[in-house]
Amino acid sequence: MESDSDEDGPVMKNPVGNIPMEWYKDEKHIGYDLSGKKILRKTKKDALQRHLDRADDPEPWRLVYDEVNDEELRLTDAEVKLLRRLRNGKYEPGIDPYEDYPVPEDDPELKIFGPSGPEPKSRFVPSKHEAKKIVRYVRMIRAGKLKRDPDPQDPDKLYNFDVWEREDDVVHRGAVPIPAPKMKLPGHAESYNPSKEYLLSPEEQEEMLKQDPSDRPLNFIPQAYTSLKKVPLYPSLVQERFERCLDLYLCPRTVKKRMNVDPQSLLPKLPKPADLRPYPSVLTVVYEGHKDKINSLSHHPDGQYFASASNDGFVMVWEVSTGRCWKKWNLKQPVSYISWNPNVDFPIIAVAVGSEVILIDPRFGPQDNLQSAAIQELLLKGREFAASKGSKEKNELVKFEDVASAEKEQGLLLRVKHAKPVTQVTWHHKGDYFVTLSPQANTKAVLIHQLSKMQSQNPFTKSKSDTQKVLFHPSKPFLFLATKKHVKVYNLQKQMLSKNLLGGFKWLSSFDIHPGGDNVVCSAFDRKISWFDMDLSAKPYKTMRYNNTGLRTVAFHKRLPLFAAGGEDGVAYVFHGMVYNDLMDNPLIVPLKRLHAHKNDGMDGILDILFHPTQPWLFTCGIDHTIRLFTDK
Amino acid sequence: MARAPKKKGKTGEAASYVTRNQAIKKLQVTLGDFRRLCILKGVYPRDPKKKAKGKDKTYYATKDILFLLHEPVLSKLRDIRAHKRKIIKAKSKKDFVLVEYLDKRKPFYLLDRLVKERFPTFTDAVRDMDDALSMATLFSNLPSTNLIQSKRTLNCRRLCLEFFNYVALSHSLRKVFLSIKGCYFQAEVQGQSVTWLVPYNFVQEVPPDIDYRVMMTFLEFYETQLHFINFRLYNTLGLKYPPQVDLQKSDANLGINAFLLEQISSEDPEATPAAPDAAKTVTAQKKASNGEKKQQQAKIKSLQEKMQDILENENESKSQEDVGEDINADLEDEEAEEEEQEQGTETLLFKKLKFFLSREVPRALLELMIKSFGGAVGWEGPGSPFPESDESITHQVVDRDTQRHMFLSREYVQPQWVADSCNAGLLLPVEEYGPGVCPPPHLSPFVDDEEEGYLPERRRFILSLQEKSKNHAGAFDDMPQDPAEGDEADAKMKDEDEEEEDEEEDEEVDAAEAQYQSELAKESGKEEAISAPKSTKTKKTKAEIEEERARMMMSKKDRRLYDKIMFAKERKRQRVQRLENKK
Repeated sequence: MESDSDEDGPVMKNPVGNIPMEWYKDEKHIGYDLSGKKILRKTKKDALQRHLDRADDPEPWRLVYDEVNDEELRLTDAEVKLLRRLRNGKYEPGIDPYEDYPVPEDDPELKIFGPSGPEPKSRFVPSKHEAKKIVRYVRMIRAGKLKRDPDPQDPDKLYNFDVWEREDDVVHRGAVPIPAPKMKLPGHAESYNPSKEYLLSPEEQEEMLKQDPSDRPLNFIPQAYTSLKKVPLYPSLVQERFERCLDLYLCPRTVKKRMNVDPQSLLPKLPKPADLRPYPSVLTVVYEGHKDKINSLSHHPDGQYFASASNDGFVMVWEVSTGRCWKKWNLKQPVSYISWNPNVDFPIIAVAVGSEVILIDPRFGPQDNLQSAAIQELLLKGREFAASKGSKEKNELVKFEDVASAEKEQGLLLRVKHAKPVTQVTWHHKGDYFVTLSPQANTKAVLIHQLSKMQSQNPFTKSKSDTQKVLFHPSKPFLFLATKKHVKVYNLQKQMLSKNLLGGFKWLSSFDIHPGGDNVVCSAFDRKISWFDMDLSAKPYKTMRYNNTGLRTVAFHKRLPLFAAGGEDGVAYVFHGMVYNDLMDNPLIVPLKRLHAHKNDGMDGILDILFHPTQPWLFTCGIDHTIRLFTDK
Repeated sequence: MARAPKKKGKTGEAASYVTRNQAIKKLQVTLGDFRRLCILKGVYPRDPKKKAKGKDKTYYATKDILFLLHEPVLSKLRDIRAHKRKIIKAKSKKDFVLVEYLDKRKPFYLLDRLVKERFPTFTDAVRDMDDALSMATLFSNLPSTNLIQSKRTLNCRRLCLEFFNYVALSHSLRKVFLSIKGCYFQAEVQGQSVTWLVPYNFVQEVPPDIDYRVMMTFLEFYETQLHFINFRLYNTLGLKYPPQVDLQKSDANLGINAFLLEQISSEDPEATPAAPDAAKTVTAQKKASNGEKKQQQAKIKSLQEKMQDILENENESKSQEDVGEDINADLEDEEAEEEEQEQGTETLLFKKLKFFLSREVPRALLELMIKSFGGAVGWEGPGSPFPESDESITHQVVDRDTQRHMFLSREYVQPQWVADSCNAGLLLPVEEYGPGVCPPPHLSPFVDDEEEGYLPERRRFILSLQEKSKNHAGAFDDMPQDPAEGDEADAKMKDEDEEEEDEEEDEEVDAAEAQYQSELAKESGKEEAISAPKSTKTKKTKAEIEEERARMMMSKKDRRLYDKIMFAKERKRQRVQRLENKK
């Protein structure tokens, strides 16, 4: 009641009341006095004057500006004290703020201020809300939804038993487990102090670091420390353990049988070459005379002579035993093939020169006049037959032309002119028929000619342009024809394909037929030789591989169980190839010898090989212009 | 009635293997849970011959997946997922009472069944112990992160120490190898050799690019496996498991010395779950172990008497730990004696030796070596059973160049001497291992000399020492060796002789041929033509020519196998050659 009244305080000079004085901010007066006159604002001191006043005043901080009354007041000591006390939050001296409140005993007046009326009933009745909660909890407990707090789990206590003594039916029902392989145990190189040889040289270290981490033989670099305390932290230990973990659960596992095979047991047991003698093994004669590479060889049926055909245009006949060139013919064109008639009665040499086949009578001196006469008779017969028939067909397959008289003196007999270059000519074993091969002539590639009738026939209607070689069966009316991939056997009587030998070749180079007629051996540029036993199957009975080079040619011996192959590296390989008469035994094939026969120019070495008809002798010819004879020791 | 036609993918390889995605779909789990399950159950991919779904897929055996389908852990994993979701939900609703409630009820699974399932017999478990131990030793050295909890690290340390304690007590350590990665130990437990790697005492680096969840899952299983193995091993020694730990010693990092070993009392039937029940698994080994057990029990009885004596005689004030130590020592002594009787002195190489370890050597590793070979160990620092000044110390292991005070009564050796002696089975001469000396090369005891194909100089030396000591031990034993071997050698000699003869013959022929060829060449005046093929013909031995011939006649399959074997042989030969050259 006392605090609100302004009247009790000091008399207000400007009775404007409790209003914000900013309302008079822009006015010249600051209010009205009791008589209603304006109280004018005192003129404001400028800053300089105020500063001077403050400088003159010993205690300028005592001055306080009263905005309402527009006057400056000076604080007294008592007022300053009061202010200080207020600012420090202290009571006036002499006042005890914590004085005990004197509780009056049984003061009836005080009861007036206590809670009025009687206690409400709700204070004495159980709470419905709580009852509901309890019921809910009880129900939850009964339903098993509310449980007591479980004890904290300690696996040591839970696992306090011997798991392998427990009787329970724990069975592994999964797939058969494969135990993980154990980690590789450390070798000497992992030692902290390995012997010197296990440390890596800087080059080796560099080489190892170049490799992919998975390819490195060691997953660390061997180090040597002079004492154990100098061994530092191995940084990738965690990584290695992690990789092991990954291996354990991510790597597919299989049981692999480790083959503990003695490599020697894998090598087939071959008979010793010494037991399979005779076979050609020693270089005996070198026949020299040709000026260019020698393409082909062929021997006289009785084996006393053999003939060679070369790119220099010469055909030469050599005496086997002396190495002497017995006779030669200059045909002026590269001679690609030569074949001596196997019939002793008509020892005609057929050579393939360009697109012609020239037949030559070698005329072995006066004692052989009989043979020359027989040959002349045969040719005469053929001419007569041809003349009697007349040239009905206008487009003949080939032309049989007589040679010039000068050539006749030399022994040339006949020219068989083809449309396209002839690559091969080969005789039937009876000596009347011969077959020529000119692959460029498409459907007329393979032609069979008969001397006694001067007649030719074309057994095939389809193109045989990829034919490599063609041969007659040694005794039966079959024609063997080698394409790049297969060897085809045609029955000439029935005029049908009788067999197709498949060797899986990429490029077959040559083949030869065993004198028995049931076995064929093929050589291929894809570095293999395949032996076909035609009684067994159309697939090779045995394939022999060479890592060195492709093989150009292959030949059987006529009598002995030998065959040989000539390679592009100038090496001839001699094999033992025994064919048994009873059908129970399979052929026995044994490699015997490598003969380093000719130089090679990287592309070619040996061009042709030839076995002597009776002796275990092997002739080879090649790009180095020579013919070599290998004989038995 | 006609049979229904077979459907594709219902039989054979296609049906017995499923891809990983198929498996996950079948099990209705996430990839993470599937991985967890696979690790815990020991299920791993297989390598079917026919891969029906393509070569780029991972295949699991269908049987394995069906086996997983009925796994209780699988449902527990699902529960855990559901529980996690509940907590997340409660947290997002700010129902912290519920969060607390749920936190206390986290579902968990036990792995004891899985241990039994994966290792039907105790021997199986011991055989597969290598990875578990190496993992535990590694983790006990890892710093704790938010993925690697310190609780797990401590548990690993405890399990390892327990096992090491067993190895030391049973003297089953066989080989030691100080490598740059850490120290390899090999012990023979239950007839199985167990090898593990203990990293040196560094805080390991924790690479960030590793999936620690995988490792922790492995560790989870390994911890359980180790626990059960330790349990069984302690029981075979007649000791209570888990052994009590002396906290004071444990805090002082005294490793295996901190265990207070306590025997299984015969009155307490629950404490002996490993009751002898030989009828079930009748194996010789088991019987043997049973016999052992009886002996152990007898020993225990005597020990118990001793213990009571001690308790009666000594004041009550004597602390429990001392008693434990006494028992420990007693046990060791008796064990040692027994071992000695059984196996001779070889395994207890350090039987009468007393070692003192300087503070710079890795104490835990050396202690394990020395104790398991029967020696007594003291060390510089708290808890050592004897001080450095003890006159009965025979060896002091140091790794410092200079010593403050050298006792004349003992040998000073580097730690490598202990390891090398353990491996060699004899006390090597100490001169080479003196302080400040660079010790001779330390070789791996795990290398099979024959397979390695190369004998380092040091190995030869040690072998000769072993031979000497053997001869010394049994002078009558050096009878002529296996007579069959001699015969074989003779036969070999004969063979060689024959071959030589053959070779000679062949050489003669070859020489003749060469001579003939050269003569021919001279005649023809074309030296070049001959010399060319001759130069290509490198000098081949008869055997090589023979091999070449035979190789030609091999089938493709044989040839490939042969080439592979020969390639491996050649590589090994080159490796050995390289080592020889570097020597």
